[in-house]
Amino acid sequence: MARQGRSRGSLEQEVLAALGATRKPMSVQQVLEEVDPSLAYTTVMTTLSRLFEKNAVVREQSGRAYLYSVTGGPQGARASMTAHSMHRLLESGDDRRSVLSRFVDELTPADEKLLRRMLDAPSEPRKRTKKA
Amino acid sequence: MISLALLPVGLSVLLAFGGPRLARRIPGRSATLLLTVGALASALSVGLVLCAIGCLAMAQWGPFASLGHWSPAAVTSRDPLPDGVDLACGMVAIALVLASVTHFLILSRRLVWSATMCRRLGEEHAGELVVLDAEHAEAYALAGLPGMTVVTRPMLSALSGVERRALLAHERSHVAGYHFAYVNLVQLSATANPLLRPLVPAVRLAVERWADDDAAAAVTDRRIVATSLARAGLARVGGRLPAGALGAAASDLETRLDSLVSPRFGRQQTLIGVAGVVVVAVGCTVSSALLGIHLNGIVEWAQTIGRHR
Repeated sequence: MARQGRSRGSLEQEVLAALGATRKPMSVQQVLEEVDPSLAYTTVMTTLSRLFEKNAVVREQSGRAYLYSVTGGPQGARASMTAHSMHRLLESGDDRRSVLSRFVDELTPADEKLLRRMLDAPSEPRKRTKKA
Repeated sequence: MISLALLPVGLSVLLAFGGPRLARRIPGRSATLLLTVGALASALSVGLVLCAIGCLAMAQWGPFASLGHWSPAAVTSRDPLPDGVDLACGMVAIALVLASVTHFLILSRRLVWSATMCRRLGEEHAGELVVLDAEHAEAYALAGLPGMTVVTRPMLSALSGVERRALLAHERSHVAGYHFAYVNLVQLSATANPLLRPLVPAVRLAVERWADDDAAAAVTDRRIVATSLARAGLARVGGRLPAGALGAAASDLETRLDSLVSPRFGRQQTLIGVAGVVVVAVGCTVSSALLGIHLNGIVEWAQTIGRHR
C-alpha cells in the first residue's frame, strides 16, 4: 500500500484512536503496530509525548518503558462530562441533524444483509474500477 | 408575465426531480456544490416571484395605493392574473417568509450551541477528536468553527488500524470542509421553496460521498473505506434494531458502497449537471428580475395615471 503523507494532527488522531480501541495500556511499540507498522518508532514516540503534554493521554512506568492509555479518571472527568452530556443530548432524539453528520446512519434490514455480504466476500471488485 | 412567473417554479420542479438522480452519479463534491447553488438560486427566485405578485395584489388596495399616489384601478387593468391568484401568492409568500425566518432562528441557535460545544471540547481534549467511553458504537462530526469529530470506543474497537484511519479521514473531511454549511443552506432553501424538498436527502448523501472520497484518498484504497463503512454499520446495528425498509430505490448506504467499490468518474454527467444548474440559476435570476422590472413598470404607469386624476 503506497504511503500517503499524514499531517501531524491526523497521526495524533490515529494514535488516540488506537489507544481508545484497546482497553489495556500500550507501549510505543504496540501503538506503532496498531496504527501503522511502517511508521518510524521515534515518530510514534514523539506523537505520544505530545499527546501526554496536552493531557490527552496518561502514562504509567513499566520497567524501562512507558505504557500509555487514553485519559480517564479525575483528570479527564471534566472533559468527559462535557462530552458525555453533549453526546446524550445528541442521542436524545431531539432533531439535531442540522449540526451532525454520522459516519453511518440508520440501517435497513436490506442494508445489514448487504454489509454482511460485503465483508464475507473475498476482495474482488464487481466491475473494473476506473481510475479518477 | 405569467411565463416569467412560472419559469422559476418550473425550474424548481426540474431541479427537484433531476438533481437527486444526477447527484448520485457524479463525485460527491461536485454534487454538493451543484445542489447548493441550484437550491439557493431557485429558492430566492421563487420567493421573489411570490413576493412580487403579492406586492401587486397589495398595490390594488386603495389605502396603500394612495400612499404611493398611484391608481389601483390602473394596476388592476394591467394585472394579467385574476384577483384571487394575486392574493393567494401574497399569502403563500408571507407564510414561506415566516417559515424561513423561523427555521433560520432555530438553526442559528443550534449552530451556536454546536460551535460552543466544539470550542469547549477542543479546549478540554487536545485537538479535534473526542474519544468517548460510551455504550454504543458511534462516530460523527459536529458542526463548529472549527468542528469536532466524536468517536466512541466500541466503534474504534470494531475497526482495524487502517479502517480507523479511513473513518477519521472521513469525519475530518466534514469538519475541514464545513459540510454542515451546504446541508443547511439547502435545508433553508427547501423551507423557503417546498418544491425543493427532495434536494435535502440528496445533499446529505452528496456530502457523505464527498467525505468518503477524501477518506479513500487518505488510505489510497477505496475498498478499505467500504469495509470500514460495513464494519461501522454492523457495529451500530449490534445495539439496536434497524429502521424499516424504504422503497425500491437504492439506499444511501448502497449508493455509497457502490461509489467506493466501483467508482465512475462521471465526467459527462458532471458537465450535464453544471449545465443544468447554470440553466436553473440563470433562468431563475433572469425571469425573476424581468418580472420585478415588469411589475415595477405597471406601478409606475399606474402612478402617471394617478397623477393625472
